[in-house]
Amino acid sequence: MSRAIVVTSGKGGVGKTTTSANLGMALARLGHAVVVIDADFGLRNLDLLLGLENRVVYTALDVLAGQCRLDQALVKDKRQPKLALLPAAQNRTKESVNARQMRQIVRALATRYQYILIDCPAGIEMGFRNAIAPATEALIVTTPEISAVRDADRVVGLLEAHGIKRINLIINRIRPAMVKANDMMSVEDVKEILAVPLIGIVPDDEQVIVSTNKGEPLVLAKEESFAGRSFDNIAKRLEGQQVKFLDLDEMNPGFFSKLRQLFTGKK
Amino acid sequence: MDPENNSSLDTVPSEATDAVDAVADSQTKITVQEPASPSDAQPEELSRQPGQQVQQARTSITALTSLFDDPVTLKPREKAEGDESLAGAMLTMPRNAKQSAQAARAKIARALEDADAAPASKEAARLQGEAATDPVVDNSVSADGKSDEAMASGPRSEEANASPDGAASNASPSADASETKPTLSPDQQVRIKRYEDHLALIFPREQKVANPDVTVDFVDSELWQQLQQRLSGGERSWKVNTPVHLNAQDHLLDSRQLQELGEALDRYDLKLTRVATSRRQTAVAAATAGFSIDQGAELPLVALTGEVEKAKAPSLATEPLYLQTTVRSGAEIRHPGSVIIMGDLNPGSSVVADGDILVWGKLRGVAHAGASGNKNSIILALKMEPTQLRIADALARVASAEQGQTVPEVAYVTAKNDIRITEATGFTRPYR
Repeated sequence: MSRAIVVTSGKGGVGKTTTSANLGMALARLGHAVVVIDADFGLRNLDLLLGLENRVVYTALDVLAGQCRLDQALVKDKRQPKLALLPAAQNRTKESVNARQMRQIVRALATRYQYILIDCPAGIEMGFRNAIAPATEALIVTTPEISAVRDADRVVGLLEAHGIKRINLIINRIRPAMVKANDMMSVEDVKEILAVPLIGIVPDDEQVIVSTNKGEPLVLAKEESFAGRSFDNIAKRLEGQQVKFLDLDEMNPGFFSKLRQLFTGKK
Repeated sequence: MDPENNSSLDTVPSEATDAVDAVADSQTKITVQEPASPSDAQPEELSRQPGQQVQQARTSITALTSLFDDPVTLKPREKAEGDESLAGAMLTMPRNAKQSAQAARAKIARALEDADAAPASKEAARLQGEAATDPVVDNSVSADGKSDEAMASGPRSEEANASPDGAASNASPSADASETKPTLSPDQQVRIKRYEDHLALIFPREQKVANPDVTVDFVDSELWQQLQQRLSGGERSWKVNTPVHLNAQDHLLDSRQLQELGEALDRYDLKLTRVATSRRQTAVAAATAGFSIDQGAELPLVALTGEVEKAKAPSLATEPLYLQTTVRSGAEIRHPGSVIIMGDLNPGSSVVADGDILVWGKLRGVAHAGASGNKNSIILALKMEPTQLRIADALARVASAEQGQTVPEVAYVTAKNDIRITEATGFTRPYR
């Protein structure tokens, strides 16, 4: 039974694509057959984050136009053969596909892949509606900012109206130190407003930028990062495993513990 | 409501005052909208009284802190859905207003506003002399085309429009008031009405859309969202396999849309059996899809539509809307009776009811009770943190950031057309 999960947020720039790329990779590493679909037609990014840009030959639109087979458009990841990407067309707009076609694509992929992650564009217009149409569950990505939370709330309402009841929440880019100082909404604050089950907390991590620029998902990085571990844990929770949330206080080790690390060489 | 208690802002129960002090001490920001009197009986006395209090408040607070820049502004408001134009002046107290007297007053009447369009325009002239409607204020009104925005960005615009005079000024441009005539009808949404042996699903009449060229899929339409909301929120209130009679009014539905509708109802264990419509094409589609049809007939709804037209009828007579759901940002619930919500009303959402609004959860959005003018309506919430409260034509803006207060509260309109918020416990007792 395959699961079509849309990764959405409403607001832009909160980390939908980063989440899609990392979760896709993490799930594939857990041994599942995963395909990530870039539904952001016209502004595709997912291929960049996965480092697969130079291997894109055909796009989802070519498949729909009958110019190639679905297999040909799927880009297999060399590092992780269980992961595939269905790229979006960069030279078109979001109006160039419709909800029915998206369902068609997902139905075809569902026969071969266990997890179908759909990277949704920002906003709640056509692109959003196309992306959520084939989904049976959703991951809401939000940052602990009032605007992102408000948009996420709206999106949850829309998803519910579209009959998507299985919705999980990922709070991205949290800064434990700022939360402690009461300068940032806490996980509890966000949870309280959205009233959606929490599946992951991802700390704000500079490594995310590094990995984005390298085109190498964090979960693959040799150096373990907090954000990478968080995504690994989210993948496990998606599988149904019970995994404790990371203790984010560890993320800001004090001066002395840093010193100790330096001397002992221990991580 | 006890008019004795409410007639003066100073008659504050002592325990309430204590509570207020505590609140004020916790650095609460309180917004007060200063009313001009709606009462024609003793308008001068009533309008002077709050004015004086404001003066007091202002002077004492200015002594306390320099943060306070006596922002009194003229704030007309006309909402598309509002059947009144509210106009009033606002006064913002800073967070560190520790003056117990003012705080008490502010707490009990966290926000007040005269919004009665007719008296306001009548009084406009009188207030011209009395309340220093200086040109600054007037300009701000005319420049302020988007009054709703001014509303939302309250404190900012207040500061910008601060008048040197602390008194209430109320010079409602009466022209505005008459231009935005009642368009508010809480009946413009999907309704589910219960009958002995079936449910009636009633669509609102087709409304003019701003942009007719844009076609939206049925499942993306607002109608659909309202339907889903009503269905998921009311799931427990009907038996499995209850037949549903749809009154599509003048909506044009094709057989695919009817099928989608049937499937949606199916997910909630409801069976669409009968369709009433005034459109021939819809009737044909329904017949093809195998439903019994009533074309032209407004089916069980004749009574209902009439009910709405004579909106003066007591709103409590209408079946209340019961929803077990979180009302999320962007959602708007309108109902010609009372609304009961089991769940939170999130910021960015709104509920407009002709009757009372009861929120068994946190009220953080906009709530408008007694929307067709019933001043006896109340708003009740387990946790009152609204963006805005409206009862009949009175309006109150309640500043957020009130921590540690978790008693259920009730908002009601006093004899002076102010909205007051008080502890809900014991509110319904005949004596207080």
